[in-house]
Parts: sequence; C-alpha cells; structure tokens
Amino acid sequence: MSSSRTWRPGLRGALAVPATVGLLFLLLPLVGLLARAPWSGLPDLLADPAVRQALQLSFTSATLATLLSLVVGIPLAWVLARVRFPGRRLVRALVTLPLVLPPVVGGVGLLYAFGRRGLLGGPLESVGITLPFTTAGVVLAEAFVAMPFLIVTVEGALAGADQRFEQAAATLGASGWTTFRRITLPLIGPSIAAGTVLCFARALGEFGATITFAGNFPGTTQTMPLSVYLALETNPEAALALALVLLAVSLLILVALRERWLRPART
Amino acid sequence: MTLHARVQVDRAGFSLGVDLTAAGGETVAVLGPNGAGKSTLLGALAGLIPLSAGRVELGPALLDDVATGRRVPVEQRRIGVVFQEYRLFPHLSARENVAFGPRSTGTAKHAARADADAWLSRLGLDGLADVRPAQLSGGQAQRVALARALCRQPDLLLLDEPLSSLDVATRSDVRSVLRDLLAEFAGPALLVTHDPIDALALADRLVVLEEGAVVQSGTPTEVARRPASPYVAKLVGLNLFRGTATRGVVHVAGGGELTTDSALDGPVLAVVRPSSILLDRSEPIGSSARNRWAGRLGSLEATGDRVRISVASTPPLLVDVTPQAVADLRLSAGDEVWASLKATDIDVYPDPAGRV
Repeated sequence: MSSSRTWRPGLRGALAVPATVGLLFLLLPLVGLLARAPWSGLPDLLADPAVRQALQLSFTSATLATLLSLVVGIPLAWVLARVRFPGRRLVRALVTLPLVLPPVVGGVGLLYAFGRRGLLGGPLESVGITLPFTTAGVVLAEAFVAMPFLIVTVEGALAGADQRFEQAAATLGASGWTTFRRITLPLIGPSIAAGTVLCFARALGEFGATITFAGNFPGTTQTMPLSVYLALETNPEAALALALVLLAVSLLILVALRERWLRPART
Repeated sequence: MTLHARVQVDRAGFSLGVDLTAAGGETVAVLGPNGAGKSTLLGALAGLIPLSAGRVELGPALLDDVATGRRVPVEQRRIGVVFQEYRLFPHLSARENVAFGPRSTGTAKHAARADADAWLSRLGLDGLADVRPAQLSGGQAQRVALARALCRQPDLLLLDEPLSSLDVATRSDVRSVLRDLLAEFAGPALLVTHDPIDALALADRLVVLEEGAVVQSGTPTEVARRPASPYVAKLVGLNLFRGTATRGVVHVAGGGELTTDSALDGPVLAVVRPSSILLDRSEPIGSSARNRWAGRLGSLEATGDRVRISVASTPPLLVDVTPQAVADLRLSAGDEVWASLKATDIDVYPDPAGRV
C-alpha cells in the first residue's frame, strides 16, 4: 500500500536524499544528547539542590502560567469563536501574535507594560505589587508566550463544535452559563486538554521572554531552560541532566498528543 | 393551555407565514415536502429562530410579539422539543440526559435523577439509564429524547420528524409509544412529519405546508377526502386532477379529460380513489364505465394488501389492485393496459387555489 502512494518512482529517488539529510539533521541533536548523557551520575545530578530548585520552579511556574491561561484563555477563545463584533479578525490576529513574535520582544514588551516605568507597572508598584524579576514575572512571561497555543486550539474546537446541542440544552431550560458549563465545555474537553498540554509545554520551555522580563535569579526566576544555558559553561554534566529532563517531558507530551499530531486540529 | 401562533420568518429566498392554533391535548401534524418550512416553524415556536413578524401566545404567556419587541428566551419557554436527530448529549448517560432539564431548572440532583429514572422506566428503557447515547439503538435513542423533552413538564411539545430515522419495525413500535404519550399529554403538541401514516395515526388535525404557507388544514378525514394540492393527494394516496370543468367534462391541466357527473363549471379539482379504477388487458367494450384510457404500466409497488400501479396514460393514473389481480392479469411494468372509471367515482369540487 505504501509503495503505491506515489506514481512517480523517479521523483521518489531524487527526493530521498535531501529527505534523509533533513531527517538526520532533526535527529542528530537528540542522538548527541543521549550519547553524551551522564547516565550513571544522573540520580546524583538530579538530587543536587540547585538542579532541584530549578526543576521545582519550572514546574510550578509553568503550571501557574497554564492555569492563568485556562482562566482567561478559554473565555477569550469563546468570544472569538462565538461573538460577532467589529474587528474580530484583527483581535484574533493580535491574540496569535505571540506565536510568531520573538520571545525576547515579548519580554521587552512586558517590561514596558508591567515594569517599573511600564504602563501598569507604576500603578501596581504604588499598591505594593512588583512583577518584573519575580516568580510572578516568570509566570506572566510564560503565560504571554504560551496562552495563544491554548486559545487557538480551543477556539478551533468551539468554531467547529455542534451548536445544536447547546440549542437542545436551552430548550430544556438551561441558562447560558449552565449550558456553557455542562454542555459546551465537556464537548470540547479533548481540545481543552490538548491545548492545555501544548500551553504547558511551551511555558516549560520558555526562555527569551522570561530572562528579559524576570531575569535570572536562582530560586526565584531561574527556570530549567535558563539553568541549562548557564550550566553549559560551569557544569556541562548538570546541563545535560536538565536537558534530559526537558526532553523526557517533551516526549511525554508528544505521546499524549499523538492523535492530534497525526491529524492536526482545525484553526 | 392553547397555542395561538402567527409566525412570519423571512430569509433570503424563503419566507414562512403560518397562522396556527392548537388546543390543549390536541396533536396537530404539520405535513409538507422538504423545504416547506416545517422545521423553521418549530424553531420559531421554540424561540430558536427569531420571528420577522407575528405573535406567539401559549396559554396565558405571551412568548413573542414582534410589534412590541417581546421575545421570551428559549430557556424560559416551557416548550419540549424532540429534534429530528435527537441531539442527545453524547457525554451524558441516558439518565443524565433526561435529568438535564429538571436539574437545569433548579430541581435537586437526587430528585431529578429519580424523575429521569421514572420516565426511562415508563418508556421501557429500564437498565439503560447508565448507557451513553452512542451505545443506544435508534429506537432507544428516540425514546430517551422523548423522555428528556417530557421530563421537564413542558406546556407545549414540538416533535420534529420523530420517527423518520427509524427502521420500519422500530417505527411502528415507537409510534404506538408516542401515541400513548400524546394521548396523555395535557398541552398542545405539534408533530412535523412527511409520513402520512404517522400523521394519520397520531394527529387529531393536519396542517399542510407548501413553500412556507399553509395550503390546507383539517381533520385527517377532511384532508384525505378533499386534498387541496397534488402533494396532499399523493400524500393521502389519491389521484388529484386540477382542471377546468365544462358541462360535466373536466379538461385536465396537463392533458386528458374526465367525464364526471358533476354540474360544476370553471376551475375544479377532481379526486379519484386509486381503488376505483379498473384495469383490463384489452379495451373494455360494452362496459358501463364512461372513462377509458389506454396506457403503459409504470411501476408496481406492494403497499400492504394492495399493489399500487402507476399507469402512463393521459392523464397519468395511480391504480390500486389486489396481488391476485396482478397475478391473474400477469401484469408487469411496460405492459399496455386499459384503465376504466365510472363517472360517479370521480369527486369534483371547486379548486380552492382558483388556478387553472
């Protein structure tokens, strides 16, 4: 069956070489990581307090960033999918901007919004809230970069979801809120789960916006990607160990999403 | 609890205008070909489709009044809807589907579930309460949909093609369940269908819609006796000819003549029961039948204890004969036959549409 997919055997031969080069290019870094990994010292490295601190901070901040994205991202996705208003296309484009924006630029933007001299930073500081260079800043930076993944996934599901079930719920006396909670959300549950996983993965790997907006302070803002980068200079073995942890998480996510990976979600 | 509805829905290329009254306990069948506006009518009454003009009253409640801008939201109308494709919530069990209405309107979880179980049991669905819709058969899903609509105790029941997606055996089964439920239901019920058997079996009154307008309404007997359009005649299985009568002879609009005993002149409808027409292999010379037509047999279809035969004559005819007659005459499609009909077997009445 697979051999009959293409009717141009000549073309297959010609494209096989660059295709192989492409595949090797993508796989070699993984092989490199695995080949040089300090397997025997791994338990000790991961037990190192500094490494554990980075691990813990990363998972905590990525989880909080994902929760924040869920709380505001799902309503935003719903509005984009279901409410007709002027400029909807523009808003949708702006929401997805962080997907293509260099994260460093996002970090600079966050500084000028929530930084000491930022639009909201000044008023916030006067009531005693400081965001830049804190763990809260890490969460914000990660949410900024990761939330669009959730929004795009959920909005696609909402746009494609069958509104006839919501109509049926209304005829049974359910208010808009009850319908949203008991019908709409469960029906798009798989997409919310997929969007959440994508969002978490992106938040966990965040580097550029985090280091720009939140800095690099061990224990408060130094997440795993930052530690990996810094450890390469001082303690390459620790860098490898941390990289392996991130790789393992990525593989887990890939397995969790394999359904969607094979059949990409609508956008 | 009486429904008074004047419904006008205008959309690009389609307009629905219907006046409808249904008394408490009455079942009205809304019949019509595809695209006639039947489902739109139900959607408008349920509040899912906004009216362009009109007014809907259900008992003491004014649900819609375009003139004053009043429109009661869907969830506040006490209207039970059974959708054509059931629309059972796929992520909820049969019990939770049925309990959804009461729970959404403030009944405690426990009481709502007890209600749901009672309804499921009434509809013969014991043991299926924990099953998800995907695991239900068509007939079971239809019963769950009925239970769900009735469990919230609606004032008006709207049924959109409730039996159309069921196979023949299940259909007659669910039909009798539906008949019992409707007999018991205190409010008015509207049943959209394009199946005359459902309409005749379940409804007290028929309303026929064509192209967004009511072409006829009345009791099933009234409508069957005096169908107002070829669609209605076909629906109730009659030959209906539209034409002009002159001294007892009806000149059929599409060609051909009927000799009748009617004294009417002008635009008329002539109705012939398919069982009144006789078929012969050769011309029935010496017969008392004053109408004779030569024609070729089209289709033969067994419908119950009869065979319905279409004869390509001028005008074309539908003829009902017994299977015995088909065997005796060795009738098969393509045969040349003679059809004959007594003048007294043709009912002629003025064309309500007045068109020729």
